[in-house]
Amino acid sequence: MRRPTVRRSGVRPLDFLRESAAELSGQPVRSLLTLVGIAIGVSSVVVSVLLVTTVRFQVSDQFDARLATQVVVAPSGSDSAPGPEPESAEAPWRQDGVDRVRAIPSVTAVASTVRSQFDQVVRPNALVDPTAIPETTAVFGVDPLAVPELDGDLRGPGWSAWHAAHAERVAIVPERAAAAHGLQGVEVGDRIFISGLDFTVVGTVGPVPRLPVLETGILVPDTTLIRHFAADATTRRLLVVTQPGAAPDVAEVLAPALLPTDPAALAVSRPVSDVTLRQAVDQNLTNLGLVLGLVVAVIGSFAVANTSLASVMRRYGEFGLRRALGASPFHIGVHVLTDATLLGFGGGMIGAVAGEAIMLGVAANRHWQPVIDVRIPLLAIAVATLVGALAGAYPARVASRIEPTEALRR
Amino acid sequence: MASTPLVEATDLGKTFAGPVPVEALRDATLTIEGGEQVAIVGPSGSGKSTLLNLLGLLTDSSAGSYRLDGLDTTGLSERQRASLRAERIGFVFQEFHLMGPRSSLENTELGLLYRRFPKRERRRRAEEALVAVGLEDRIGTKVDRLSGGERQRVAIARAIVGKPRLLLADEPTGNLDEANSMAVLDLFAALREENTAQVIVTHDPLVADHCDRRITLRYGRIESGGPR
Repeated sequence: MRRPTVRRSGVRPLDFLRESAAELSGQPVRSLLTLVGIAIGVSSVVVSVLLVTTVRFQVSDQFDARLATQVVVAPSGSDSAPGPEPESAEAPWRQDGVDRVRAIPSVTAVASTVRSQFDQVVRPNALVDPTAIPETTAVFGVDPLAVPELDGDLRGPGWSAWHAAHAERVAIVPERAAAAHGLQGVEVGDRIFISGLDFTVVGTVGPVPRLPVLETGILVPDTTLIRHFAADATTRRLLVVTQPGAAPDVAEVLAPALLPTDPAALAVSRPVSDVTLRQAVDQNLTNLGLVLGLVVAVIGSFAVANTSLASVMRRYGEFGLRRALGASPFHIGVHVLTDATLLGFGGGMIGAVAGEAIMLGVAANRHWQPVIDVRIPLLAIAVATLVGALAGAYPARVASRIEPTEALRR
Repeated sequence: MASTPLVEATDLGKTFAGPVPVEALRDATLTIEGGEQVAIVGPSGSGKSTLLNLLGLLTDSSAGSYRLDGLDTTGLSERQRASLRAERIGFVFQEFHLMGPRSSLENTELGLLYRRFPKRERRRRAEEALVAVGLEDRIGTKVDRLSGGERQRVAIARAIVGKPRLLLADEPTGNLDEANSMAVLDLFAALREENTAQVIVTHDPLVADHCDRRITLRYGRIESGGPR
């Protein structure tokens, strides 16, 4: 008996794509809803990852501008350096030492600060209400150039070296402290009372980005603080601002320059290692992006799988017909897989473009420098396509196992 | 030497498995020559559709043998059966089984999709088939917008576009009025000139009378008209 010689039937790969395109366009509402679902998921990932990248850039930028250019000197025995407590409230360094530090080429600003030993009662006038519980606030002794050098927006003349040398009762009132202690509306030339002593306001100041703690108290000359309120020597600091990247080198020479006779009496530190902190932030943000991506990928795959499975059920009769026309179970599986993959690809494309647009919109709104990394949307499209294909695998298996005779009866 | 029949079934049987196995067809022996038009008649549940599915290689037989165009189909893989269906068998169904959102041309092209024909060749042949069934002015029309008779003619065009050796029709006039039924029968008659054998399952005596031969099934057995 002659064995059959059967030519293998087949479908050109392009025809699988054509059939899927025809099927998806033939059910526009269903396809659109699925595409939108996938696109929302993909755009969420793209926005998250791109925003994370952009925000990371912003954060890094701020670290570079602030923390990475900051070195702090404290006397040994202060609350940030080991050793016996300082004997004197005076700064252990002298003005010529500070001048030498200022002369270091990569140093851009130097500011000395010290806090009062006890918080003081501050009032806008001399009247004392015996029934009221007095409000107290910190008083900081700072050098004449400290506020502008700490990037503070000083409004008013401030005090000069003469005021400092004579321990004059002049004060700069930060807006934040004014709001907290009933000094709103205080202007240059007004008088305020600190523990009963009158002080002339020589300036007001908004945020002090490099040393925000100064915003919480009243600022007076270093010498005035020591004379009238007693300084807490353990809080004395010399904040040195450097050019970007120079902080480690400046830190090396700071103590000998400031106090050549006894550099060991000073503790030099950087508030934070910018590299370590940036790495930590980078890692956290990257992990956040990855987790978001994973969550959306899982949700997206269920959406595609659900749509594909529903499509298989709806197209039961069609698959029976295709089998009658010569499709093998493999061909049916590939049809379903192609549909799901196309949905993933289409949703990925729409989502990637939408995600880019949203991210650019947010960045423009927040005045951020957007970080455009084309690899992210491309990767999102690739992942969405892969997720579509994986999600279509089970429905494809179900469809390929449909009995043609049973399907044709439906 | 006598020519080989197109269809040669010997003691063909089909039993559906289940808690209570159902023997839908047994000992069906029949031959059909190329170009012959055969009606299969019988009451509901007599095994007509089962026989049609076996002849169309849509299901496996449980017993007997079946040779199509001289090829023994026993033990063929599903892929080989699919290839044989694509090349040598055409189907026409009572419910048309057309793809609604697509045009007459696209539906007809489907009959060639699994034969690796290039798109342009599929389109040319589909247009010829639609002209052959009298739908030259409905080529681009979505089948949703066609009448029942027109839809069945699209289904016939899809079945004959690949020039099959065997055309299997399950109640092809079941949903049509008399005029459209006659039009379909005229199309089938024209296919005889192409040497296409036709097996038509029908309850309609008018259709059965048009055929060369009538095979009557009852209780899963061929009662009359099997072997020539």
